[in-house]
Amino acid sequence: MRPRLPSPGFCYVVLTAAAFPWFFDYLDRPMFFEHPWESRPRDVGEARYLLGLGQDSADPRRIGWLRRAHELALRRSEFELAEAARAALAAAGVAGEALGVRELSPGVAWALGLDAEGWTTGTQLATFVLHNPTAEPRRAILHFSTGGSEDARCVTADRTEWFKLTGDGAKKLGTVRAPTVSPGARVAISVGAGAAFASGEKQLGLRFERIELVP
Amino acid sequence: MLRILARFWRIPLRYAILVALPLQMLVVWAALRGYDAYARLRDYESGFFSAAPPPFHVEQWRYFARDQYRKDLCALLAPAMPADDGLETFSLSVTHDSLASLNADLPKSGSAADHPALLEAGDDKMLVMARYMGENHWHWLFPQKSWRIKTKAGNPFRDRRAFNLRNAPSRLVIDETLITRLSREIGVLSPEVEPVKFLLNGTYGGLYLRWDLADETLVRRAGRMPGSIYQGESGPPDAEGVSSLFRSARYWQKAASRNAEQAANQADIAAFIAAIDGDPVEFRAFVDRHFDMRAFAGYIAIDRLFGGRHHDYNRNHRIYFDPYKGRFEPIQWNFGDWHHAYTQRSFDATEQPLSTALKRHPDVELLLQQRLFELTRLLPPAELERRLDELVAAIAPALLADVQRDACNWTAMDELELHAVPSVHVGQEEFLTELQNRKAGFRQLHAGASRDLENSRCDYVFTAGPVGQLDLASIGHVAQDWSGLSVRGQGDFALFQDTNLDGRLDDQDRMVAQARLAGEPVRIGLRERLYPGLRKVPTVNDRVLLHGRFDLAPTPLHYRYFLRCDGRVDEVAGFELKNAVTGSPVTARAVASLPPSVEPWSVHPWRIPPRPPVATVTFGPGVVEILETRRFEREIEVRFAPGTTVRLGPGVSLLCFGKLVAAGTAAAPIAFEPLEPGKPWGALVLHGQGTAGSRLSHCSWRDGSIAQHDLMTRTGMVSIIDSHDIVLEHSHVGANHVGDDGMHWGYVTDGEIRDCRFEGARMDALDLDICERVRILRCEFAHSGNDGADLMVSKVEIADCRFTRNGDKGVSVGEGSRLRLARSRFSGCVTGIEIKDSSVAVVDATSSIDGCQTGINLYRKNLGYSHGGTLQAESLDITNSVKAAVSHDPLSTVPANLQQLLGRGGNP
Repeated sequence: MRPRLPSPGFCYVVLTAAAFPWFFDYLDRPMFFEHPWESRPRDVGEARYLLGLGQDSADPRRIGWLRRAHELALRRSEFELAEAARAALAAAGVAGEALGVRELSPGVAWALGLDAEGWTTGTQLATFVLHNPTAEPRRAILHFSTGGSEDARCVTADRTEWFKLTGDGAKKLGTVRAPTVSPGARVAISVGAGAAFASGEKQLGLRFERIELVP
Repeated sequence: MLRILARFWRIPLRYAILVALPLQMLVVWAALRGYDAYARLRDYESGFFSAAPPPFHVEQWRYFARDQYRKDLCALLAPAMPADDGLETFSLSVTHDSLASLNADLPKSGSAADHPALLEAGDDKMLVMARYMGENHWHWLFPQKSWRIKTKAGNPFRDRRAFNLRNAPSRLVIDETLITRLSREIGVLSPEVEPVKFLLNGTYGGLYLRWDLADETLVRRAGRMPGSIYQGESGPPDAEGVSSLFRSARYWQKAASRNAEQAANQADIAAFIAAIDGDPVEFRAFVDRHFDMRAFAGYIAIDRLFGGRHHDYNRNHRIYFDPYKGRFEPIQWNFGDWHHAYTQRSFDATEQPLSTALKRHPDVELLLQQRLFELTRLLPPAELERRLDELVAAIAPALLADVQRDACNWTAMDELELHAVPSVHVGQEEFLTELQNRKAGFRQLHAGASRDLENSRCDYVFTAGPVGQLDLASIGHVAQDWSGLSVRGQGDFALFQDTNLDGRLDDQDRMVAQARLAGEPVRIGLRERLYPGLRKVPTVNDRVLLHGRFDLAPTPLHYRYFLRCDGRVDEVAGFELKNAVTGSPVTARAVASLPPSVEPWSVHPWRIPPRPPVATVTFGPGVVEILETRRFEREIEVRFAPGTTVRLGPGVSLLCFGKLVAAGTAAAPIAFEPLEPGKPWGALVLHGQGTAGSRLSHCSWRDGSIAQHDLMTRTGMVSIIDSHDIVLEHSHVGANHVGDDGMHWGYVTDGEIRDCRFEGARMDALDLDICERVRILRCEFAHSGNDGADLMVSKVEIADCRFTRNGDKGVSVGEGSRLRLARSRFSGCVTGIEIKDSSVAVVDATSSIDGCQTGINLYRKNLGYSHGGTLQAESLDITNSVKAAVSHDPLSTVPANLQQLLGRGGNP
């Protein structure tokens, strides 16, 4: 005997019954800010939210929202999201240098969050985007210095690690090894000081010294 | 069963829609409730710091929909309100019309008018007036409203004229309760903030906080004299965006005053603000004179230990000025959230003008640190956790049953870019997580504060020479007590402080030690204290209006000592140093150069004028004329020799802040009288604990008046305020002018007045306010214009005294006083003894009242009290009363067998 297909009504009831718990499960999911601080779900969720607020909006605060979305998306290597934020910023008249992205090595490395002298601000993170235009996997080593605390952290797509800068005198040095970048791919890595130190009126963190590309 | 399933398998669409409809309606219902809650906040027009609501995003709706869903789930599963959990229940019954009126056009309608209501709490049941309270929207925008309850005149609620029933804004609910209880425990004025169950029109409205107002009743309950209470809640931003609250007294509201006449007088707060904002050295003197530093230190210690940030540049300040002591005290108010991490640079989680002005003086900062240290010992983490657990256990059943419980979620506001903070449901799990977070946070705070309190170091550089130099740097957070030094050399040696900080040894430098050196190391005893300093560090604060633009961080302070020796000094070593707070040993470290003192903002302690040396000033014997008011600071003991006649010019006063000894004799008494007949002199004032131990014997005072000094007015010709161990004997207090009292004692403990005569006072012969363990023995009170003795909030014993023909009462026992009366006589007074306002008089069988219009009168005079007077007696001898032997109002208590006690004579 051939089994009969269920009626549309049955499908309707089943779909409703399935949607019902899904809806309340969806409602009950944590908000992005309820994930641990500096975790990937939090940063990505915040980036998506801020992009949603700022995109196609005339709110005077949108520039700040979109910048933050751009920064968070880059930090977590969410390049499509970052591109959407960048496009929204461009539509709002913020592009090029105004975006705050510096090209460190043409076509290879960019940085967001450094001042004119290459310093990060206080304990805030600066994000470095690395692109591998070659046919071989490559890595980058980022060199930093500081006149303050020896502790610093680096954030990649899905984790945060602490490292130390070392030195006997007032200046300490340290390096961060970025993840391997596959051919044609991009990777982001964010670095920031564990504690700020004051220099005049400014609150400084780490000074980016140079980038070293290794095979 | 199979048939049912088969039919269901083939269910027609139209029936399927009906079957699915309830589920769909629930979904739509949840979605709409979420949107409604979102819209309620979105449409609230006045956001935080005037921000606008953000554009709509589905996550905003989801946040509110989730909140409503969780609330509904809680409502389904919550138990009924517990009846026997030990928490008090406050039931408010308000008509529906009143509720509709309150909710008609929030927020204005909520606080525009008071509405009649019936309040029931414990044994109390009374008609009150009620309205919503709170400017912040979380008090009235959400279902749980906060209420202001005002009692009717003459019918206070437990000695309170008004109080709040507040919906607790924090997740933990009882954090303010813990802080206010701790505040009272360590002597900081604080309202009671206690958890209660709240019923509105018979329906459980949730766990609320009964929250006292910072008003006159609060200071009365704390045993203080009613005085000025100021609220500092908002000031305009200055050019840098920081609140100007502490720049001008006009931004402070006067919530209470000494009396109606003083309601508009803001001289006290103006002086307070001017001192904070003015020269630091003058501020230091102001603190000595007008700050109750123990109270301020306790208040600041709580802020420090709990990482409080609510007492900031702009808000949550309550200051009380005691008109008798002339001292300001803080009132614990709206402490708010505790911090969770110790990030303080110099103990305080936020700077604000009052605390930074105090911290600028290293010796005052040391006092604050010492109080903080005491608090860390009183409240280690285990004890805090025990108190929290106790409170949580007390509220747990009521909290579980509170389906409306909510709390402000500041994180949501910040992260969702909302213009106002939402108040959202707090589930049991979240509550317990918050509890654990607070405990963990406090452990961090306690550890951080304790660590910084141990941060005390000292470096030194010794330079030998004809005049050797010893430079020290006090480093870290805490001062060092320097008690000894080992010196090796030859000759007569002296150690000098570079007191004037000019880098060379000169006449203004103070010698602190001297010794004879003979080759072997000699230990030199010292009593020096080395304080570190503080410097300003620019800081980026997200709320500049509240938290300003700088932090204070430690920086070393340098101290130079000169070693003068007519021989030579070979070596200095063996520094005996201790942490001035914890007593831990501190090792002095020899260095090539001292760490720099970077832009110290602190006042170097050697710049503060030293206290004057202890000295004695003696007047007499003979006639002494005093033509202008004389002031004797705490270090000066004033003596009047037997046989001295002190003649004081018009309005001239003697202000003594140190001990006074006026020991006349029967043959050579001491008299205080006016220089010019008919022109009263001012007052003899003894003020402050420095006067403790004063003795006045065989003295007489007449024709004095009042004195005004240091923001205070003395209404007694002889005023003794804020002292202890005072004896007055064999003396005569005569007529006074202008002011009320012949003699006035305020805040005096352990005193005795014996064998004295009080006669002809303009109003009250002897006025005792907030005095304890004072005995009045074998004295006479006659012909005063008002009362012979007037007691307010005092505990006094009167024995073998006579009260004759006083214009009103022989003894007035008022406002929570306790009198023990023995072997005393009253005659010809309007009222022999009057007992009022929760006072108690115990009258013995051998005291008698004769020929007074009323023998004993008891009633409730001050409408702020719930009860009248109480008389305790085993026998009463009251005769020839014109009106009544004993009269009392219904709020007073007399012995049940009063008629029997009255015995012969008088009228009941």
